[in-house]
Formats: sequence, C-alpha cells, structure tokens
Amino acid sequence: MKKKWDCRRMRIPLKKPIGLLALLLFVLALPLLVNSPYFVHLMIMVAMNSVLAMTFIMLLRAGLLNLSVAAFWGIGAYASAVLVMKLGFSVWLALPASTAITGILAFLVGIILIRSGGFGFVMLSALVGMVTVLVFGTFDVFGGYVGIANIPPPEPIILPFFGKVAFASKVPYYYLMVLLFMLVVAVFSAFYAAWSGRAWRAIDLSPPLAMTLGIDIFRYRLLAFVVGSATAGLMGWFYVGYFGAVLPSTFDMFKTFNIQIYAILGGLGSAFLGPVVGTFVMTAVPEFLRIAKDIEPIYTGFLLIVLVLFFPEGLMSLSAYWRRSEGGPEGIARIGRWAKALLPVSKKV
Amino acid sequence: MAPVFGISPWMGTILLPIIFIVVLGGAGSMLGSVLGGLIFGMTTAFGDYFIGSGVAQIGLYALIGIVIFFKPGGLFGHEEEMGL
Repeated sequence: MKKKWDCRRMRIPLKKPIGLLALLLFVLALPLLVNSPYFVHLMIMVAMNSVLAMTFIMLLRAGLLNLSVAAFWGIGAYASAVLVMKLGFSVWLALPASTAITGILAFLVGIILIRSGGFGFVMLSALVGMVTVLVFGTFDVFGGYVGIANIPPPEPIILPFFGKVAFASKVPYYYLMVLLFMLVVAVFSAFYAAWSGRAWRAIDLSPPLAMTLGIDIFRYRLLAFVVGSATAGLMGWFYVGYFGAVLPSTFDMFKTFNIQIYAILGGLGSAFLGPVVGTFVMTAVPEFLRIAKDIEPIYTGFLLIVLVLFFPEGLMSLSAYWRRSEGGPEGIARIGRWAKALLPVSKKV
Repeated sequence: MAPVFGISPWMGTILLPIIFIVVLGGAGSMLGSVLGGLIFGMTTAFGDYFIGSGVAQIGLYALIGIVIFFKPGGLFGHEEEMGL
C-alpha cells in the first residue's frame, strides 16, 4: 500500500470558519428540509458507519491493520444492552459505562495483541473479531443467537430552549448522532494534532526509526487501539439506543470488511472527510440502485470494482485533482487512457 | 466437499477458518496445513459432541491465538514466509 499521508487532511479546516459554520447549519437543518424519516435514517447510518471507518483509519495511522472494529462495536453495544436490561441502568448512565468497559477491555486485549506486532496483530485481531461473536452467541447472559430485544430508548431529556425532548421519532436521534459525531471528530483531531499524532506518523513511516527517536511504539499503538476501540464502543451504545435490539451476527467479520471498504473507498489519506464520503457512496448508492432488492449487491459490487480500479487512492484523490495539487490526477488520467483505448475514434477528433 | 455437505452460495464463508488453519500450521508448510486442518476438524467434531459447539470453537480460536502469539509463523512455518 502506498503511504502518502497528507497532514493537511488530518485536521479540521479551522481557518475557514464560515464554510464550517455553513456546513454545520446545513447538517442541522437537513431533517427540516427533507422531512422524510427514511432519509434521516440513512444519514444516521452514514454517520455511524463513518465513525467506525474513522477508528479503522486511526489504527492504520499507527501502522496496525485492525480487524476487530466490529467486535469492539459489538462489545459496546452488548455492554450497554446488558447494563440496561439485566442490571437496570438508565440508558444515559450506560453511555459512559459501556464506553469505559469497552476501553478497559481494549486496554487488556491490546496489551496482548500489540506485543505480537505486525502480522500477529492482524491475525489476533481477526481472532478477537470471531471469538467475540461466538461468546455473544454462546453464553446465556448475552441472550444467545437471538440476541437481546426490547431495549428501551434513551429517557426523555430537558433542554434549555427546546423543552422536553423524547426519543420517539428519528429526528432526535439524528441530532444526538450529529453531537456524537462532532465530539468524535474533535477528540480525534486533537489526538492527531498533538504529540501522539506525530508519533503515530513516525511509527507508520518506519518503526525502527521511530524507536531511535525515543518513541515508545508499544505505548502509542496501545493508545491508538484504546481510543479507537472505545469510540467504536460509543457507537455501539448509540446502536443499542437507536435500534433497541442486538444480534450477534450484526457484529461479525463481514461488518469489519464493510468498514474497511468504506475507509478505503473514501481514501485512507484523509482522516475525516474520506470515511464520510466513502460511507455515503456505499450506503446511499445501493439505496438509489434498489431496482430489485435481490440483485442490488451485484450492481454495488460492480460499482465498487469500477471505483477501486479508477481511484485506488480513494474518492478523496478527486478533490486533490480539483485543487490542482500534486498526485491527484491519477484517476482522471487513468479514465482518459481507458477511454482512449476503448474509443479509437477520439484520436482523430 | 459437495458430495458430503451439498452446495450453497454460502460455502465461501469457510474462507476465514481456512486462513486460520493455514496460519496455525504455518504458511509454506504442507505438513503444517494438514496438521492444522486435523486439529481444527477434530476439535470441532469432538467439541460439538462433548462440550457444545460454541465453547469448543471459542477454545479452538483461543488455542490458535496462543500459537500465533508465541510462534507468529505457525507450528511448522517461518515468520518471513508470510511476506508481511
């Protein structure tokens, strides 16, 4: 894989406050403009999946190919489901509790996983991904393979200007998701901008060189693993509150592969916009292509192959082309070459 | 496999266990793959019968995890042969 991290794309463009503010207003006004519960649901799913893709990219920045994203997402979801259903926690109290449980588990598992390094980490994290689903399916505390159903939604909250907000329709969940999304982006960009982000980049470029600079590789990789997994656990809490049910098969390896597709399609070079673009394309396009539900994966698969063929560095390489900076026009040039090869007529014109 | 199990579009989902069998035995080693497959199949079959399918698989994957942790190249392989 070609390593080309652009550090400009790792941060939020705070120097363009008007654009950011306009984007925020647009995102906040979206449910009022569209007024379709289905569309709001799609946007919620895009936001949740793109946060999961962001955690995948964060681990990749530290030089680790993580195959246990969906497992920790599931651990967060099951922690919150068990806390609410079996131990009688309120759903809001389960938010910090399930995130903390996921973080502590990630810390304990990460000590073993990261010590094994490189290839061992890939295989062991895949094992964690498979064993987690098996544990959820086997033991009765987790409800077996039928999962846990009828989990109550978050309790109504009282806000200063809006009065009592009940989580009855999809719109309050949308605003909750926007809030969580902004929180995650803020925390992640703080980690990227701080010393830890530079340490991750050094580790990713060359671990031995990073070691000579006095960077404790194990500690910084563990930090990335714990932060990423705890964020995935936070999304698990949201999933439980939103859907009200958990199934072990939701959190299996195929979900992890889907998350990877979101991240790679958007472009691994950008930490925030890439996952959002990739997730949006992979979530929205199958919905629009839904001519017949049974053959929709065929179209989606074909589209995915075409996109990866033309844009191996992700859809974000398009934006680099429009900015006329270096390294961007690869995909466009490739389309041009293919078009020339396919259409000999164009040479005469 | 088809005469024994029948065929279905979901046959491909066995891919993940296959990867773990290869890693358990050691990539680049024929004997390792045979032994890995033997361990995998026997543990699954006897585990299903004696202690239940779920617990047996958890134990099996834990065993594979321990092997990878202490010997990243697998039982009969070398680490550098994986090319990663």
